[in-house]
Amino acid sequence: MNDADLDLLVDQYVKKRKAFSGFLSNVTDFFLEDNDALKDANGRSAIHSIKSRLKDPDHLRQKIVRKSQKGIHIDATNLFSVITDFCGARVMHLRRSDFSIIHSAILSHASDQNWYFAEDPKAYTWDPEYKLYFDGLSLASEIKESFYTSVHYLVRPNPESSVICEIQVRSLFEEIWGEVDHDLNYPEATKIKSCSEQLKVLAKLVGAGSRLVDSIYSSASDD
Amino acid sequence: MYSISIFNNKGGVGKTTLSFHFAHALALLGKKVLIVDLDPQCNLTILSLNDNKIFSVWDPEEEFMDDFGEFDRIDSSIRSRLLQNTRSIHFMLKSAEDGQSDFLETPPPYELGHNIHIIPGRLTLHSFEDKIGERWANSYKGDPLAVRTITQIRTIANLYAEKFGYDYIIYDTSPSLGMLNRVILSMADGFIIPCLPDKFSLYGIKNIGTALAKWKSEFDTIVSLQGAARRALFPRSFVKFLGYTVYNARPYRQTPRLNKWDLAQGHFNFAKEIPVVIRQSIPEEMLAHLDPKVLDVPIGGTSVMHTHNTLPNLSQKYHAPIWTLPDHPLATSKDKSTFRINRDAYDATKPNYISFAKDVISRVESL
Repeated sequence: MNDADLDLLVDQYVKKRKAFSGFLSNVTDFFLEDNDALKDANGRSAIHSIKSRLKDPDHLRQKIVRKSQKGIHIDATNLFSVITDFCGARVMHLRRSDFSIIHSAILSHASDQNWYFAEDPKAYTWDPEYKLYFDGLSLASEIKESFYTSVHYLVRPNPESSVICEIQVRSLFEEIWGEVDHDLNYPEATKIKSCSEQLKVLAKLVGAGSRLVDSIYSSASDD
Repeated sequence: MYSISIFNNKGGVGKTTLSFHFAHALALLGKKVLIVDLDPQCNLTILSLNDNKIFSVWDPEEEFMDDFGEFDRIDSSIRSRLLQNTRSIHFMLKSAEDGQSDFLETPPPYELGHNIHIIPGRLTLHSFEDKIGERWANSYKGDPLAVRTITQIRTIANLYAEKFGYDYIIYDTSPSLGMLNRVILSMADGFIIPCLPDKFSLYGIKNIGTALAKWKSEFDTIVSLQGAARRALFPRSFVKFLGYTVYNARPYRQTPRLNKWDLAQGHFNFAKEIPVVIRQSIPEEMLAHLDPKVLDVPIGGTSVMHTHNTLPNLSQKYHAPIWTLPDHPLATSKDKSTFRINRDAYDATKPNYISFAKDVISRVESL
């Protein structure tokens, strides 16, 4: 791909950036505003914190280059369907029970036609017990070799829109793993084998940590 | 229903006089017409209604214009009396401006004649414009109050068209390119640019073109981000250009003709540039529906092009179209003699505005 074609694609995104930022605010407002659907039985919010970002045009440029090196052809007609992370929100929670509250709030917001799913929601997990939990919520799950864990939703404002926002829902422990993994493996995967190994151990620790948090809260409520 | 905004970024081009007479001519052609005065200066209201009538519309509204919350707390008999009489457009927009619930009643527009009504303006309308400015950015994320604020004029127009069966709704506007006109123009069906044959009007058209291009791109983005329910509040397509008029130009009649529009040469030189500047400045997608031959010709040809001299002044005095003045029942004896001397000039305005209105109708119906 030559520079002129690349400029044209990036420019196409820049022109549309206001649309992405508008929809991103719509998504983050949903999680930040006072909303009973996101509270547990005691009126406590299921959300710990949220982060959001709009893709930087320079990062888009690099991403298109990487994709085309991998043989994925991107042009003006498929830019917004091949790349779906122009804007994204990450929703963090503490306990697993929080996740089911967030999940059902997202589903009912979509069934009220405020959002439309561009793809079916998907859970990434390597833990067989979590897989069962997601199965119970009718959430398709997939194992990533890297041991990445999170649940992903691709939403858009209406069925015709090419403005898509990716929502990632994860626990605080999973966020720690995600941040370290990102530093180490993005945009290029680390070549240091011991780091990769340690990151896998960290994933196990995250699994154990999340489990321990749930257990502490459930012991406290039993008492 | 088809809504038309008469707009120029240049003031003093005769927008109000044209809107008033055009609306009356449409009514004579059997169309049911509603005028909505959306110019905070209220010139069209002042032209259409006498001072007592204006006072009777504005005065009872006064106490609710600072805080519309008061309106929900008043006695139901006062409330229903208010809503059974003509109210200003700002009063109707006020619930959205203050984030209160809308009233469901439709205060009757004031009847100016057979088939023609007006929703009067109000000098306080600038406060609604301020709210549009504050909330515009929030409409991108589909914030309900923001979307309601920017679509409320259209919502009211649709409500009145449905309830009273209007064929045409005419918006009179101020000459500004501010937030209020952005919303009015973006959500009207068609617009007409009246021009004086001067350099200022040519620059005015360039400004309008630049603004329209920007407005359309923002408008498209906002609409594309709305969910199905809120999308219905917006028009299906952006406003279309219906044509221009050269207004208030000095005629110069001789044989052989001096030029194709019988204009004094100084005026003709600017007038002939108008369609050229329109093609250069107004975005293509707003012109594409017009045959280039139609686009080049002023609406109604030369029918309303030549100056009315001082005829509109007496129109203001009697709140009536120029052609009705000679037979006006309330005319003073002094004015009656003025009318008698110039009777032909007064009478001639009627077929002229009718041919203008016919041209607009044919441009609208060809869409």
